[in-house]
Amino acid sequence: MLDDPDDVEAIVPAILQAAGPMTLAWTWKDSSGAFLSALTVEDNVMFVILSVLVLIASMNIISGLIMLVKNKGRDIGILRTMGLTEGAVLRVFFLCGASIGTIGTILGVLLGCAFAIWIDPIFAAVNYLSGGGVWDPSIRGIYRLPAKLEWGDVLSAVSLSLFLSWVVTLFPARRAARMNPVEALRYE
Amino acid sequence: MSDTLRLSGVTKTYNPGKPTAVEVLRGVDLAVAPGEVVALVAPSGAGKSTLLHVAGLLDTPDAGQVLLDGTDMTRLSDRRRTMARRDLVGFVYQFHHLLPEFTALENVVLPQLAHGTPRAQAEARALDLMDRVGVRNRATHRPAELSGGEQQRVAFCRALANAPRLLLADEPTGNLDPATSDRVFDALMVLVRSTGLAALIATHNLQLAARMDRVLRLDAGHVVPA
Repeated sequence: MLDDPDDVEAIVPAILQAAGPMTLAWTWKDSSGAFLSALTVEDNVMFVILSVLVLIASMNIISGLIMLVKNKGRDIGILRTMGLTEGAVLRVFFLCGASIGTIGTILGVLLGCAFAIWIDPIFAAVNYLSGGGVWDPSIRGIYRLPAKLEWGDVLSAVSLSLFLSWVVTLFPARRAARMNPVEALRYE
Repeated sequence: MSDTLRLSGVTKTYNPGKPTAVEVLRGVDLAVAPGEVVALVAPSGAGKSTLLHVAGLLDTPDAGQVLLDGTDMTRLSDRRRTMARRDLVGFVYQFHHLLPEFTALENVVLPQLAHGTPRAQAEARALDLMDRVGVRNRATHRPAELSGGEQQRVAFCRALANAPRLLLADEPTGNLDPATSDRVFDALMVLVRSTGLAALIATHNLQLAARMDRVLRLDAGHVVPA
């Protein structure tokens, strides 16, 4: 017997060898091929959709930072006059944007993990607050929402979120660093 | 001893080669010796700010040389000009341009931190400078909580925080009433005389200009004695 049904392919060669050459092995994965493939596609599409959401959230960091750079034009000019290099100004604004992205990622991971771990009590709470009937088990025959926390998924979400939020921060930070101090002070 | 600031044949034209070209500086020759306070007078739009920006390595001339402490800074990279500006030049503008989120003390400490000075040492120097111009008791106040004269005195302290060799001031009292202007100018002179640095101060105020060591006039793109 297998401990993990997903490892079914591992015992197929041994069964074939034991049963002889005229044997055909037909596993549960073969009989549910279309269903498993649909689940994989759904998993991938869900990741793409969530990536787009993270990208949209990153755009908020960009727009916020661009407004910050515009509002702080005079201050940037003064800092450059004082002798801060382009690199130093870039680091200031990069740290500003990257810290927003990092804090957002940490909060997102904590909330996401908590949601996946305590999905049943959360579901029960929502059901209670809405007066019941949110999910009628008699219709679908599903009595609990299965949620499995995969550390691989958490790692991909964290990597994507940090990567996007840090990369998008570079553009407004570079714009701040390239600002001409004379122009910045002249029009203030 | 070499001059702290020397400009030789400096020219600067905005929008060169276009019908809207404006020739602001036409071969400026100028020298400021260590410890000397020089007034630069000219009407608005004559190019005082441009001259100060070129002298302070914020802008590059089209032709000519800018020497600070005998070193030609004209064709240095942006990074090296920034370093030279940080170590050798202090700026004061007509408006104080203090960072509003920081206290007066932090505004004076900031350029020193950028220079790599330890915080305790930077704070001690900042408080000493602020003491000399009478704003030490306002150290923990933000710029919005200071009067115009106090803001400008803090700006002087910030300009001198890194012990520069040259002070460039663009209408430093132009935004103040005559009485406050006199007091603030006195504070500036206390700082300049006590530190022995060279100063080039652009001003409209001929009475203030007369109190400086030498008065120069920017006339049609040339600097001439007034």
